Amino acid sequence: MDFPKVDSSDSQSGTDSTIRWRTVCLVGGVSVFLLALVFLTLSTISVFIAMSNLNKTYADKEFGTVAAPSTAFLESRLAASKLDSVSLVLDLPQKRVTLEMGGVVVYDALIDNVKSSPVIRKLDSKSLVALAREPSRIVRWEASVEKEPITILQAPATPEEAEAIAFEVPENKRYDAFFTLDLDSGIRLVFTHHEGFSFKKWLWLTRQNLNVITNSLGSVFKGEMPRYTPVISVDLSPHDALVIFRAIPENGYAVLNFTH
Amino acid sequence: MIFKKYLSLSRESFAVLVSSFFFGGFLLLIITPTLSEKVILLTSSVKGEVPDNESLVKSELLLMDKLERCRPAGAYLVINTTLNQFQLYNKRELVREGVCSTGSYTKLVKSDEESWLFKTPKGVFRIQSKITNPLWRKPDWYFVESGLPVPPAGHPSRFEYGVLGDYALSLGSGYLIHGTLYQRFLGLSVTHGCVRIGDEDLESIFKTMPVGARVYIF
Repeated sequence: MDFPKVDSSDSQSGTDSTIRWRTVCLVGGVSVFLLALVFLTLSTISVFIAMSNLNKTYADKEFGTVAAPSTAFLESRLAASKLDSVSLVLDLPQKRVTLEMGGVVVYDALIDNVKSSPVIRKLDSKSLVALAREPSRIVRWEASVEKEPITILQAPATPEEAEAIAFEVPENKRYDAFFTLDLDSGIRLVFTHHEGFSFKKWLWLTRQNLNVITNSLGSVFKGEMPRYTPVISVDLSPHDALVIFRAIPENGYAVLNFTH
Repeated sequence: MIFKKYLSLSRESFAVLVSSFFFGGFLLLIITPTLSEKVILLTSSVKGEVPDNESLVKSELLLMDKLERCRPAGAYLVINTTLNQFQLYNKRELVREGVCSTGSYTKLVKSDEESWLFKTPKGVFRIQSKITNPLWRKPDWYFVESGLPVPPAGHPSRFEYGVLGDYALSLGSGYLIHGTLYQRFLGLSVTHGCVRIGDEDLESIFKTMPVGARVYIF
């Protein structure tokens, strides 16, 4: 930035405009900084509110018996086994993701890397068990690939035209599947994969982070508390990520097993 | 004015000051989501009561037994439509695995009113019937896709032997697990919704899977 000098031998009007220009810059800079401080404060408060809400919702949930996380996980898998559709089973202590249909494991994948938000790590043990005790419904998802890769084919008018299409050998495309699943329990699952440095992954994660910042800032501007969502980030191999994303129904269920 | 003394700073000092506010502010905005949740680590987590070991082991064994009973004791087939792979299980053991072909996700459009989406249905199915030397009854889409006029139902041009391989297993609603003449396409998503399997694998599946056996497609 090129800031004009104040104490130069400019005319009075020139000095005035310089002071005005400097004032605007200074007020702008201070405002940005203050906004950032307010944003940080509100965001921190919203993290505590989110944790308190999760504890309030789950710690007081009556299940009749007290359970350990491992038992809660089995109970949840059993509840999901009543469904015919695919359920996503995320066993964080064992670093495994499985797909189950009617209680049968149809796909099994190893997690390369897993990271949970500090809120999940600091959650009341009772809440953690209660959270794991019931399958969570997927309420929203976002992905870098399509759920169903539909291609439109216009019906050929003649057999010759049809023959030309038939000779096009299909190829096995490689997809970079990164996706997020928002659960009704208030937790977001983020699935990515890494094979060395991936610009696509970096771009996708940056976009996700920017979305979080802009949504939270939007709330601050509207005078509302920013909404905090605890995240569990899971790294899988590329084809496991794709298989899992394509297999899970849009409003499917996820079963989670986590400990502190 | 409170900013007065800052307004009279030298050009360079003023630039540093304003830039610090701007960049500091932007940096803070960017790191806020990470920083704000790290604060929670300063708090202590609450440990709840955990049931005693004996009752825990008992209830877990009971649950594991219930889960294990969800798995069919006999033969069942798992089909992965994304990777175009299958696994055949019998008596809870994997007995065979290999490649298959499933729906291409092609939408064939004839007109605004008439179109077909070639996808393999997902879910838990049961083998409805088993057919040796199956006859293919060509549906309307075959003729549309081939650029031919659609013949009336029952027309001889609608029936053909040998196209579906030596065996077929019906999943209901017109969907079959069958053989193929296009072995080179196995492992690719190329079918109209049926599951195509190579000759030897198909024979093994046909012989292992009884009518009523479950097929898990995902």
